[in-house]
Amino acid sequence: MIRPFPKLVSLALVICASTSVVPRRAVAQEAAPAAPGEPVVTKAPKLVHFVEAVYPKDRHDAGITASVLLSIEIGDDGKVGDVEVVQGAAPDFDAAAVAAAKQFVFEPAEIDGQPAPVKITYKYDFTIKEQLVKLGPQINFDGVVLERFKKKPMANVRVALKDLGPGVEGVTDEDGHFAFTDVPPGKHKVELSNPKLITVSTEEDITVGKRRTVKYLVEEREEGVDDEAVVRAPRIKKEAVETRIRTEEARRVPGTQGDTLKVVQNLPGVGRSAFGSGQLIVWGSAPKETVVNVDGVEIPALYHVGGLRSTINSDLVRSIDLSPGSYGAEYGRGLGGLVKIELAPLPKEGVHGYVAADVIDTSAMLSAALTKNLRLAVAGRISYLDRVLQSVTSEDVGEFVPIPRYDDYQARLTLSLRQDEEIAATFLASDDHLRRSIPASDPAQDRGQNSDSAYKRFIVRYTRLLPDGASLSVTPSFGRDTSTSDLVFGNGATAQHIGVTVDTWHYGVRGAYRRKIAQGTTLSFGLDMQARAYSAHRVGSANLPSREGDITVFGQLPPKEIGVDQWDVTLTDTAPFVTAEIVAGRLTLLPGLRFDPVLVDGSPTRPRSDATADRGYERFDLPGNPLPGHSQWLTPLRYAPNPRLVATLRATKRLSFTAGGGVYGQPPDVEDMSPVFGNPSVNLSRAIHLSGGASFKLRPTLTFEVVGFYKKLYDLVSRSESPSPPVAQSLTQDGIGRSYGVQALLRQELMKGFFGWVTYSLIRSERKDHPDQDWRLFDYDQTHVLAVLASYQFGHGWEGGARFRYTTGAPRTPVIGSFLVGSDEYDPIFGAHNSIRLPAFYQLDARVERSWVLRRAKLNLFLDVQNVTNRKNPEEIIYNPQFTVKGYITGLPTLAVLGARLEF
Amino acid sequence: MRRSLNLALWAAPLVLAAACKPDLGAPVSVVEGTDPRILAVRGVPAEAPAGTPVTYDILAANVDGRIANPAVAWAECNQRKPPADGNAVGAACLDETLVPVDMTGPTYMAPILSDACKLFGPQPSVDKNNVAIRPSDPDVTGGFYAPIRAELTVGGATSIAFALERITCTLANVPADAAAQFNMLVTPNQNPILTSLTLDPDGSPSALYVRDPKGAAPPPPTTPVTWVGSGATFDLEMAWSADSPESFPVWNVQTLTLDMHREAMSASWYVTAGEFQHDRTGRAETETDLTTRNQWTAPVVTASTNVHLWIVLRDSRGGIDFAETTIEVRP
Repeated sequence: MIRPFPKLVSLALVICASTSVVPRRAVAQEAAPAAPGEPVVTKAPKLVHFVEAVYPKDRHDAGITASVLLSIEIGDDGKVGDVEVVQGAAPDFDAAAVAAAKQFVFEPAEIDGQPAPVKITYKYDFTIKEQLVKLGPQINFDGVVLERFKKKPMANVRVALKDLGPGVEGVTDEDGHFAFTDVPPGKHKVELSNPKLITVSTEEDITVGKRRTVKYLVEEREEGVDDEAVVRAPRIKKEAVETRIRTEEARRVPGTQGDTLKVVQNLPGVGRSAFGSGQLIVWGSAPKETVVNVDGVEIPALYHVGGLRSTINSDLVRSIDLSPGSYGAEYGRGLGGLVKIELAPLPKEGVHGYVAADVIDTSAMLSAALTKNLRLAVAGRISYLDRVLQSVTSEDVGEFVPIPRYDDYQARLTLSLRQDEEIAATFLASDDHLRRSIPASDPAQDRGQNSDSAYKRFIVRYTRLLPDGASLSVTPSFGRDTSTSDLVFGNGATAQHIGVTVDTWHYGVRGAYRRKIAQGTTLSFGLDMQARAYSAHRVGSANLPSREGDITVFGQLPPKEIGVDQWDVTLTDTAPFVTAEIVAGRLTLLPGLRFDPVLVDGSPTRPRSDATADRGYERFDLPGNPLPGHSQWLTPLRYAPNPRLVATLRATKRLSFTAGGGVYGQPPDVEDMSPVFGNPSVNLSRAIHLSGGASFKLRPTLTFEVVGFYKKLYDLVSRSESPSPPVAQSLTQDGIGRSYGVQALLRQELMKGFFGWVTYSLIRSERKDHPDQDWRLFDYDQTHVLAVLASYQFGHGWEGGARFRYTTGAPRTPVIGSFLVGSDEYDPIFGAHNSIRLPAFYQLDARVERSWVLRRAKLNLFLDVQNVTNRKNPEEIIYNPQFTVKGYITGLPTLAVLGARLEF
Repeated sequence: MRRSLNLALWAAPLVLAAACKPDLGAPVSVVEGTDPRILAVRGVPAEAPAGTPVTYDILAANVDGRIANPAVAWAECNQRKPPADGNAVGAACLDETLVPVDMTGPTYMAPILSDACKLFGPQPSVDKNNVAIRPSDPDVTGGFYAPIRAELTVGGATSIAFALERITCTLANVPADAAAQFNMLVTPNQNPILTSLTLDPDGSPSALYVRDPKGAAPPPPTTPVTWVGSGATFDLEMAWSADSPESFPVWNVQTLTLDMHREAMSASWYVTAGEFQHDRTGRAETETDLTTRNQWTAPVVTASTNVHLWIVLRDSRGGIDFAETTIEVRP
């Protein structure tokens, strides 16, 4: 029955509804355009009260759905009148739909602005939707937190959902697990924190009805340095170019005999040091230009003499970072690279340690948690390779391969004062001794060598994380370095002695405060103070020890002149620094300033004489900023703090670009400040570093990096050009240098038991001893440096690896003739300076290791074989006494080091 | 060395072989080839003050024996050696533009440069800007030396040698009393005197060279002095006069004391065939023996061959004497 309408308007509306939800937004079909003079619907009816139809049960249970098209009359008061089925589905569906529709209430339609009755078409859908059944609180977000490198579970890590307000957080259990219940759907900011961890934050998307289970890999904190890091991206690099190796990887690198710190020799940008030297040649810099820091305190030697071992027990080391250049303002006093060694935290409970022995040396370490907060570790090592060699090789081995005797020992005590506050005292000591005597049929040709070197450091490090997230560290230290070298030529009272003795007292304080000052901006500032008091004595020829740039030939007897000098120098270097870390979206900037004035205090200014009293000197010097031009207004900038800057642009999640640079200075080498052999007035040398590169993460653990660099060196100390230099000016500071190149690294971090890397460096390093001279090759220049290494855990305790190295030979000056002098020896006539090279070096090393897990210990046996192919690598050019026949001294043939390590 | 090392490798769990000395050809004591080789340059007297005439002669040889009356180009070097130069004389002394060539012949006589103690010694000196320059350092015997260059060219091949003539200079930078005592004790160095060379001294001694220390050196032999069998090994003993190792004072720059020393003696051995056990032998300062021994293995020959042998004796203050002999090696 259709009630007559005064003005019947044909209006088609299709309104869809379902049985289980409130009606969805009605979708109206456009009304047909009205003819002129006809009434016009000015407002469509609006469903304001929906009644859900009763779903026929058997249909619902059978999962049958249907749609019923209804025609509904709506009065001018909005009430429903007749309802007819236009297109039915089934009688039960139709009846249910009609019954429900009759209970609808509408806002009336309007025609020409007035409420009016209308008829609409309404489609009622019977649909079945899954019901969410509330069963009580449900875990919908959980996971595990693991240490990134060791993959061990991390307990007591606070996991907070920051956007849900304070208190929405949990703590990981002993297995590293955490879980949240009923986390609202949507994106949430998750923050992981622990005093021992680098705080990281990430975002998780929780969806309705789904449980999100995650695995977080976190990195332990580098105390006082890393307060914050960006998640799912590499830890923010503090240096423009930096390679960090974890001890777990480093120990397994073939050719290092398990010595963690020897891995540095295989990192990008590092040249190969001559056999037995153990020097670090980084980006074309001299070994003395690279600084080695342990927990921020400088040590004089990373390796024992001969380079067989590092001077610090590997088990005390947590990580090694190498920055070949462009490093931040926290560090200085070096024109070359920076090696940062971070000592490891001590185990929180129990007694742990190890004993290891191989044919080179024996070492051991013991650590114990004395109380809940107090932990102690002691370690030591002593070598015996010299005695092993004496018993298994011929006597004249020592003539060409002097094997030093060394020992080192360490102690470390850490005390947790309270939450996030710790004080650690560390004692480091290292000794090297070399004794050899090579008799000759002519006593005048007897040779001998007595060398001793040692260093000791006592480091106290206080660290605190403040409640506001800031960090504070203060590291006072003192120590003593001694080195004595005595080369003896001849026999008896008139034997020629050539030696240098330097005794150095070292005092230092490093303090740093770091806090976040704004969103994305962290500021740190500090003071790096160091005072070194040297007392030096030297006797012998002025050309020994030789220095970079000297034209020499291996095995030549030194000139017979004898000079003697004794001098004292104190260098006090007080360097305030400030750095910032500004994160602006994908760009991270690390600007820094370092002001590095050095007070030079010494005596005497001229060679000691009976006729005149010694006079001392005192002066300040700065590593001034090299600036172009001579404008007066630029002058203040020359003496301004040295700028440093590192910029990282994270272009994508995988690709990032880094650029860096800065001005660096290095205090004079006290050995250069002898009035007799050197020049007491030499000052700081300076350098500019520039670098830029890209890093591409091919996979989460596979990274490719490429970096280009340029270094310019100023005020380098060199020999005087004059054959008759003025008194106390045998050395000048005229030298300049440059090195440039590119390095590439493809690195697979530890994954499924495998790690390895391929690194290649293309470097050219040149020097001018005086501005009027031509560029010459730097003594340590190596054009190509390639290292390929890999290690794999085969399972069942077996592990193996190999390392291949290739380097261009070092430059040498050819001998083009000779002459007899004094009727007893020949001297060489040299060709162009550094115009030839030693043949290229390449070598394959391998390592096999087997581990057994015992009840309370782990036993490890390894065989580290160097030079597997027994290649005769030329290490040095040697001539016959008349310099008419040339040959090569070759390095070690196959060297297999068998060792064992018991760890508990 | 290589053999002993390899044996050790098998016996040791450690497989290690140290760097080996490469084969660098014949020992320095073997004079081979026809190119000239200067074996010694002698100045007489061995030490003299600046301005004193000194006569220089040379011992030059090749595989055929001593080069008689060599046409040596002599030159004086008036250039200092840079303090850190690893050679005994500076590279400038090899540059002909800097070294005046005065005469050619087997001997050369000239006074020591008048400013030798400033150029090569401890006397204070200034540069062209009147700035005091660094004095030269003495050797372990307290000596300073002026280089004299001898250049011998035969058949297009050249051999260069420098005599280092010890110059008598005043002690510098020492207390006056020490200087006075030094002047009282010091005597200019004299060349040592080789008195004999004996073959097989413990068996059937055979004098290869004999000289009366008070007389002149005998002329080189024109025929072999003796003969030996092919491939035989013999001891050789060289002797020198009792006053050859002289005593001398040295101002010890380390202890700042005046010490007395006795000259050590060094002997260089040269031969045209066969092989010495040692290229050099000698006696230390503390050894009072007036002899030194070496062992020589004659070459293996199929026909009689004359072998030339030279010995050069040098004291630690730079004094030199030399002698020669000829031995026939029979199959």
